[in-house]
Amino acid sequence: MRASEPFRTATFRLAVFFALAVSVSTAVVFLFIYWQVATFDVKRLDAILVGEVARAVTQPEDRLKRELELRFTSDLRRLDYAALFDNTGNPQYGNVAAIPKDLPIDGAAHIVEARALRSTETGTEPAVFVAGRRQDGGTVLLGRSLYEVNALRQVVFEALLIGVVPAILLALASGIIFSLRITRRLKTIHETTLRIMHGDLQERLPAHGKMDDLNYVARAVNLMLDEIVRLLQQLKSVGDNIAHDLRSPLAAMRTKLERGLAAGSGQELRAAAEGALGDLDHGLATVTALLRIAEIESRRRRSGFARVDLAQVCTNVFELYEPLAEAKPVAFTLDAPAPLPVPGDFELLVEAIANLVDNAIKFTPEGGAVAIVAKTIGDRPAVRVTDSGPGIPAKERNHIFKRFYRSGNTRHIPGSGLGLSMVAAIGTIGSVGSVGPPILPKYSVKHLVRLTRKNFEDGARPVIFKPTNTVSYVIHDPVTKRGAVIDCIWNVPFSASKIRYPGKRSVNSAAARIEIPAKSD
Amino acid sequence: MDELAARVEALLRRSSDARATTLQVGPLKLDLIARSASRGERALDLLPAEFKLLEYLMRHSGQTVTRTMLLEDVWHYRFMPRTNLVDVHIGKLRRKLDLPGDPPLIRSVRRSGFMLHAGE
Repeated sequence: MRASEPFRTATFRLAVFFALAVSVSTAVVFLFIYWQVATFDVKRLDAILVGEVARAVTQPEDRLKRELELRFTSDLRRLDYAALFDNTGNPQYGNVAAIPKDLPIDGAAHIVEARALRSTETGTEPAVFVAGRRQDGGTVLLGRSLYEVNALRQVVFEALLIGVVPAILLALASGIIFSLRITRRLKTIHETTLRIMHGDLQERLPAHGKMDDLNYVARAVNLMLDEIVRLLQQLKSVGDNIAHDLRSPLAAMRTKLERGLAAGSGQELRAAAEGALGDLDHGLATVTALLRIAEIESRRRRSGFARVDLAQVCTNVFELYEPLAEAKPVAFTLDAPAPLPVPGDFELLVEAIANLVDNAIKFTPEGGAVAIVAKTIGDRPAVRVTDSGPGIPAKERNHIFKRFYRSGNTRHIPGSGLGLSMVAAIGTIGSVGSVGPPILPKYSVKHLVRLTRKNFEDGARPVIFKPTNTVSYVIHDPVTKRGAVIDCIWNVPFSASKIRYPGKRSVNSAAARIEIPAKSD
Repeated sequence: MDELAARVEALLRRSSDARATTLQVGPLKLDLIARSASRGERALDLLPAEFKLLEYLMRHSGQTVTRTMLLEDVWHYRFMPRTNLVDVHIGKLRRKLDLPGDPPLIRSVRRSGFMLHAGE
């Protein structure tokens, strides 16, 4: 750190600015007091002297002389001037030798330079003089030296200087101290940042101590660094995974082509080429899905969140997947009674929910059930994708969002292992594990019993809500945290999907086809 | 919003198809205004999604249409489900188009997609 650095920080400049502001305001106050003191004292003197002269001009001469004498004896500080002149201007009595030349004899107060009365002083000093003409032609002159007033002014002025200068120095000193402290912290931050820039990503800015503004920023930067590290690691593992996942179809392709070429006959070569083309398609699909995830992640970071109707999103997905469920067959229901506006990105939400539904239909055995519910659950808009499929073993739940992860017991079903990572890329994983009760948390047990009894009469088995597997995705605005929840619930007993939810106002085309289609199709 | 989308779609159609309000491929006829479809004399009862799918196939008759193209252009979805989603939709449409005995109109193109051809 250079020696001049504390003087260039914003803190120091702020301190200087405050010092100046404080000084100016103090000076203004002092000046006001100074001005008040000066004028008030002089005005008071003026008024007294004018009154006394007005009385003196009417008094008989001998009495006036006595009063003047009294005045001299009581004036210990030798500040009072008093004199009586005859009609030719010669002094008759008093301590003023002659009427000052520039003093009008009009009974009003004037400030003139007069000889100092005190023996220690030899020069002149300002004084207030009042002269009045007597009826006999003489002149009465009264005055008082402004020496005291001036002395007071002097004191006030000196106090101002003595007071303001230390105040400025104090402000500057505290500015330097604060700026030194800040500079020291900034220096640490600067050095840490440089280390991070040079590749030491584990380094973090110091953010301990109390929560001041600098720590606040440091903490935010640290969180940002955590996220960057996570993204970097993700990127790295994705690269590894792509290479790994493309290797097997490529190897299979190579073997097939080799074998086809070795066989010699055109027929066999053709078959081999077709097989190889299939492997190539598999590889291509994987690459496309990966690119899509990358695209989603970058889009999620920059997309603005608009109002989107979750119910509409679910309806779109439902329409897309209905034939697939019908063909399997799997009972497929949608319950989206009312518009459910949430902040979000329509296309991405469709993709997220479609992926969940895709999974649900894919992994649910024939004759099972898949349900989409879109309504306000608790106080949040929510989508629930429920299925009666095998679910995910507890020990695997934390892995399902990893790209290319395939659950052990469903490995025989075709898939890339990328679907859930795509969903996780669109939403944030809220919670994984058992969260219950699943579909209708606001309904009481009694209500559920009534519902199940109704189903029972319909020939369905009673419903026991015991989902063993759930995943919640939170789709929200990353800053305001407002948004929706997407739940995915697996392994729900089959007849759960046969419940007709109360309060279902609009039944769309889907609801009529709740029954499982005949398997003979 | 739907209104706007419909209008834009109509404008696009107008520019490419010289204001065609009906499409015809072989025995298939599609009335885009009345939203009705028929094969020869037989009227086809199609759901909106199926209508859109058929319309797309007819506009691209004689060309191979891939599954990705269908997903992106008919459903406007940009992801690749690994299930045979498109095949199922095509299968449903096929069953409605072809009664037993009719020559099949939608042909599967091995490994790539589908093609609607006029037959004959």
